[in-house]
Amino acid sequence: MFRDAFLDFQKRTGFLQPEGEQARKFILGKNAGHKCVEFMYELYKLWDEYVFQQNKLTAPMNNPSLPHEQGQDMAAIGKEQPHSDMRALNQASDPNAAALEKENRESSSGLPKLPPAIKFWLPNAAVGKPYVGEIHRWNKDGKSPAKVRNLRIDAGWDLAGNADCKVEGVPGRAGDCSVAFEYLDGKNWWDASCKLIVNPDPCQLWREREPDDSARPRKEHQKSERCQAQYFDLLGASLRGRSHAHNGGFREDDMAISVHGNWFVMVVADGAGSAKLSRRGSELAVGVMKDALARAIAEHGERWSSLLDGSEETVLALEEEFRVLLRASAQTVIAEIGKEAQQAEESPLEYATTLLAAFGCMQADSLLLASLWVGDGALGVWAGEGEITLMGRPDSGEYSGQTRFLDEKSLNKEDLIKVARISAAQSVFLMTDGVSDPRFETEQGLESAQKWRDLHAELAPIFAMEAAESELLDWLKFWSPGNHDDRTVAILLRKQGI
Amino acid sequence: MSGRKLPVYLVLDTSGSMDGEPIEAVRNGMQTLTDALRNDPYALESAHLSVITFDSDAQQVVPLTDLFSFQPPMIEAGGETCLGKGLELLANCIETEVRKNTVDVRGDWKPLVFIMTDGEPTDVWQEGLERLKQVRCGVIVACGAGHAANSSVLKQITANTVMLDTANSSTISAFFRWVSSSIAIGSQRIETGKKDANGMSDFPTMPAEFRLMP
Repeated sequence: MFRDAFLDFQKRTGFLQPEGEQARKFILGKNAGHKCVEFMYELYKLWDEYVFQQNKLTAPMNNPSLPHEQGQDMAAIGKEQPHSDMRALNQASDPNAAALEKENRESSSGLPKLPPAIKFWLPNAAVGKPYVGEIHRWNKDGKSPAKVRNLRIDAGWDLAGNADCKVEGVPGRAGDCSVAFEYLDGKNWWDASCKLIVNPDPCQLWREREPDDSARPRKEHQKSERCQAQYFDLLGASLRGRSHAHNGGFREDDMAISVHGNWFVMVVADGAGSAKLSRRGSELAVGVMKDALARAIAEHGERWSSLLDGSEETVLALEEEFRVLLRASAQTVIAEIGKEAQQAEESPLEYATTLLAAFGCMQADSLLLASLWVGDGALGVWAGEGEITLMGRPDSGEYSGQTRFLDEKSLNKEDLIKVARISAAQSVFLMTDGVSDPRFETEQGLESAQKWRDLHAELAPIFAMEAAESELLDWLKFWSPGNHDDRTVAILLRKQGI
Repeated sequence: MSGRKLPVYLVLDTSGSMDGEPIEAVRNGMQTLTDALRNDPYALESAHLSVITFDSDAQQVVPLTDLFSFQPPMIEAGGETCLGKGLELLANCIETEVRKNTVDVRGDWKPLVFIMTDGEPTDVWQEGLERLKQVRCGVIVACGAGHAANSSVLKQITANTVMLDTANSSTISAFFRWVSSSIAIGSQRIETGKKDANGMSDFPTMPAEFRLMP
C-alpha cells in the first residue's frame, strides 16, 4: 500500500527517488527543505486517505483518524487496496457513505492540521477601505487560488468570509489579522490559516509635534497676509508641512507681500531641508528682498508709472532698470545672509534657500511684471482662456530632489530674470514646490493651461470670503500622497468689474 | 499613490551556507522590516521594495512594489554564491524599474541598495560590478555576515561595507532593523530634505556588533 501511494505520488508530482548525483542536487538544490516537507505532506495525505478508506470499510461509525494513531495497524490491514477510486465506488453504491463522509469531514475539530511549510497568501488590505480578497496557496511557480471554506476571523477586524469563501469587509483597524479556514487539497480538508496584512491609513500616521524648546531661531508654523489695492487683491499664506509637523521641525518656507499704490511686491522662498538654519535663510530672503523692492518702488514708483506708456525705447530702458534692480536686490539678500552667518559663526550654506520674487504694476488694462526665479517652485501669470505665462523654469536634475539655491553662481543662470507685459492678466501665482509638486508634478505639467485654470478656479473664490487669509491656509492643507513639504503661495487677483 | 517612489533593493545571498538559522533570520528580518516601515508615514507613501536573491543563479523574487502591497517573499537557501549574477540583475532591475526625470515624468528618488552575503563569491563577480557601475544608485550598503564573507570583495562594490562577526539570528535581525531605520530616514529626507541620501553619514548609527570597514 505504502509503495502504491509512493508510486502514485511519483506519477503525479514527477518526484524521483534521489540517487547519486541527483540525490546531491536534490538535497543541496533550492527549496530542498520545502520539497522534503511537501513530499512528507503528500505521503501523509495518501496515508490519511488510506486509513480513511479502511475505517469506512471496517468501522463505518469511526471518525477519520490521524495516521500516527493507527499507523501501527498498517501491517494488520493486510491486503492492498486500489485506493484511488475507492471512495467514488463507495459513494456510488451507498448514498449513506457520502453523507457520512461529509459529516466526518466537516467537523472542523477533527480536521488534521497542515504542515507549516504549506503557505497561503491574501492581498493586503487597508484600514477603512472596502476589501475582498481571495486566499491563494503558494506553489513553486507562484500562487494560485485555493479551495477553502468555513473562514473564521476575529470579530474585532470587521472582516468575514463571504458566500464565495473570500475575505470581505471594511477592516476597522490596522495590523496582522489571522484568517483561519479549511483548505481542500485534492480530496481532503485541512485546518489552515493565513495572515492578512491590514495597512494603516497614512493620513492617521501623521502627528503634530512641537520643535524642541531650546531650538533657535524660532519660527511660527504658519503665516498669512492680505493687501488690497484699487485694481487688485493680494493674498499670501505659508504653512508648515505634515512632514515637519511629524518630526517636530520648523517651517522652512517663507512668504512676504506688500502693496504701494498700483505697485506690488510678492516673494516666496523655500529653505533647503539639508541646511540647518534654512528656516532663517528663507525668512531673511523674503524680508530683505521685499524691503529692497519696496524701497525702490517708494523712490522710483512715480517715475516708473509715468514711463509705462512711453515709447518703445523708454519701456525697454525701464525693463532693463527692473532687471538691474532684481539682480541687485538678490545680491543684497546674499550679502545679508552672509553677514548673519558670519555673526553666528556658521557657513552661509546652512541658510540655503530658493527665491521667487515678483514686483510690478497692475493698471486698469494691463499688468507689468518683473520677476526673479532661483530654484524650484512655480511663478506664472494666468490670463484666462488658456493663456499661461511662465516667468522662467524650475531647476531640476536627473532624479528627483535636486535643485539650485540662491548664491552668486545661481544669479548667472539664463532666464533667471524676466519682465513681461500681459494685457489680460487675471492672476499671478508664486509658490514653493510644496504646492507646485502636487499641483503640476512635472515641467510639462507646469505648461499645462488646464492645471493653471484649475488652480485659478479653486483659489479665486477664496478672495471673496470674509476670512480669506485663514481660508487660504486651510486650502494649503490639501491631501496629496507623498507630498507633505511646507507649502507657500502668494496670489495676486485682478478685481472683477473694473 | 504619488508617482515618485523611493526604490529600495534588498539583494540577498540564498546560497546553501545560509540554510538554517541564517535564512530563517533573513525571513524574520524582512518581516520586521516591512512591519516597521508600514507604520512610518514617510516610508508608507514613498518607499518601494524589491527583493533579489542570488545563489547558483539570481532571481528577482519581488519586483519593485509599493509598501501597501508588499509581502515578504518565501525564500529558501541552497546552491552556490553567484554574487556577480545578483549585481547584474540588480543593475537591470534598476534600469527598468526606476524612472529618471524627464520633461513629462517626475523621476524617482535615487535607489537605496542593501546587499547581504555570507560567503566568497563563486562566479566572476567583477563583471556584475562593472554592469552595476553603469546605473546610478543613491547609497549601496554591503553587509558581510560571518567570517566566510570576503570584506575586500564587498569594499570594491561600495565604500559602505559592514561586517557581522557571525551570521546568526541576533546579528542578522540587528542588520535588518538598521536597514529599516535607514529606509525610514531615507524617505523622511526626501519629504523634507530636497536631497537624496548620499553616504553612510546620512544613515542612523549602527549597532555595536557591526564593524564598518575602513
